[in-house]
Amino acid sequence: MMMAYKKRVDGRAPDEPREMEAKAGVISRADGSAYFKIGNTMAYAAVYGPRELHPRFKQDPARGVLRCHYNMMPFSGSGERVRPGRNRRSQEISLVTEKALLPVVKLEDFPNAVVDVFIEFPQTDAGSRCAGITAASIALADAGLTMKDLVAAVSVGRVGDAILVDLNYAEESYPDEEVADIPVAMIPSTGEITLLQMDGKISHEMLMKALEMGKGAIQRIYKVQQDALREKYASAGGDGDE
Amino acid sequence: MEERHDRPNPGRGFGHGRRPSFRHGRDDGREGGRDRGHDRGPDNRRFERGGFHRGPPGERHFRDEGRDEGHKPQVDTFEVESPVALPEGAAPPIVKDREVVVPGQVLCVGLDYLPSNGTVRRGDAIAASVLGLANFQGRLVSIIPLSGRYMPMVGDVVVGKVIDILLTGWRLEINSAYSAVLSIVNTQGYIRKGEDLTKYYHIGDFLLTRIITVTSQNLIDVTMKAPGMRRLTGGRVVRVSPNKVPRIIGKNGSMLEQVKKMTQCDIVVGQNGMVWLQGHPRNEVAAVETLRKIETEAHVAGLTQRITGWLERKMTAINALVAEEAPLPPQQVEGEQPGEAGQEEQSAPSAPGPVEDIEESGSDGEETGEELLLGDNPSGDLPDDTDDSVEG
Repeated sequence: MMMAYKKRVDGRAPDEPREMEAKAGVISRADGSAYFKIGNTMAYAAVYGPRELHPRFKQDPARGVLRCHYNMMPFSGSGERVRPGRNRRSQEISLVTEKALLPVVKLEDFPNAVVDVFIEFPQTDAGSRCAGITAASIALADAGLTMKDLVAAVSVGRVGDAILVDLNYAEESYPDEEVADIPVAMIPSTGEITLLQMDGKISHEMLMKALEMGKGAIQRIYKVQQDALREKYASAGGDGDE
Repeated sequence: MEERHDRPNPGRGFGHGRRPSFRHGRDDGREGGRDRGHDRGPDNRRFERGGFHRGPPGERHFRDEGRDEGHKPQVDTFEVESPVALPEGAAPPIVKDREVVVPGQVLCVGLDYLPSNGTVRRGDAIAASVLGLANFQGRLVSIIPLSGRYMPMVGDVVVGKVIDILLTGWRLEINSAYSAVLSIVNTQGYIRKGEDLTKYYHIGDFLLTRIITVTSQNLIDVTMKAPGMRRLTGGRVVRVSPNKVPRIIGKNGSMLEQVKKMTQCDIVVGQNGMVWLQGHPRNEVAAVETLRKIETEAHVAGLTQRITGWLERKMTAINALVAEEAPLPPQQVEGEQPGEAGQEEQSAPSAPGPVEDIEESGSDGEETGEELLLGDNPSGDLPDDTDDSVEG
């Protein structure tokens, strides 16, 4: 008889996200860039633009276009080579990333232009779309774009009866229990949700509890994002010049 | 440091650039493009309305004084105290003045404050909407951005690179999200119908132009019909962050003046962050390094003195090296020796620099006949060294 999932495989508390690290401005040629690592999932995001959009039929005269590109590097998985290039999954994630970020970015000032966001993963261990969104929003801010707020993302879910935050791959693919994996992206200052997806099954009450738990983790991620940006420009503040 | 907390506070931007000194020439009725969108505050003092991409007061510098046939612009009335002083008893702001803030961060609470550039009102509070330094000026709260691309504004003098020949003009790349169009009606001199436009400016040429229109769709028109506008031949072009342009120019152009004097380079700084330099290749390289240094240390106090000291040491080292190679009296180090000058001129544009992002500008020596017609002496009555008029 299997045991209920009580203690997490890596010993974290149920509401505890994995260890995080973030840095802004890691790619000097890009207009804005960021690195975000949560547990063993690493994301690099680079923002180029706003710049002219070609072909022209893709231009929008009312506002700039946001284009996201999610890509897992060939060696980023568990040892199996990830087939390089676009695939069904990465295209979908690119799309939802775009939709998760768009509500905060003000692109009305850039009609007919495009902002390209490239998100690359040298290593993944579940929660990559969340890490990607988190990194991308740091990079967008670093690029000097007008934003209402940052977007922070984390996955919540359950393994059996346990409600958890930031599932790693071992939990996400836990063989002996029913698993639900719910990536959530949020605008931290308002609590608005910009991305909500789910793999698996969960009851209504558990979902609400999980989302509530996610909010706490989102705030911690938000803090890391803000600190990354402040750190890059830390020396720019204070006294300034005479 | 202290004066910052003095409110009312003179209309200051980030650091060096106090607005007034840079603003003359704008308030004497000449093209007033930039002035649209200003309000007049009490005492006829002006302040800018909140808007998303208009720089806060004092952020942009403009200088073209003294180029108008001895026209002496008056120093305008811009010694602005804070537009409207903060009422007594207003809640103190949440962040410090000049603190680095990130989008979404709450800066202050209460209706005593007014949101300006780079900020939004959220309920009672004012939050940042761009990454930058918080700037409190009386009731106005704005952000001085630290990153971001160049946003074209009417009146700005920019360096552009010809990227396309159109039927009736040239398309220029101006280090912005949008390209600019130089129409033949906005060029100097007369261009006959059906003439081959590449005879005037060819793809890859760098031009110094002024922005005359920016439409709602951000279609940009530039002109050469302004004092000092010309084709930039020879030398090299580097790109710096447009947000650092005021630092490179310095207060009243002091910084740029220093760099020009010490490196003996001709330098033109476009508001869009494209900088053209010309001089002895060795000195060009030194000047580029200086620009990069200014860019990275823009925020540190006493910038001009520090850069000056650093550059002095650098130039001494360079000159010593040169003297070692070919012993020359110091005043001739710049390659002024007859016979040698020609060669050096030729090699100038292709001299490899240690700094990335260097673009070679224009063509060397041979085709100068063309440019002389158009570029070099724009409006006859101007001296040839008009280039330093366009620092901002």
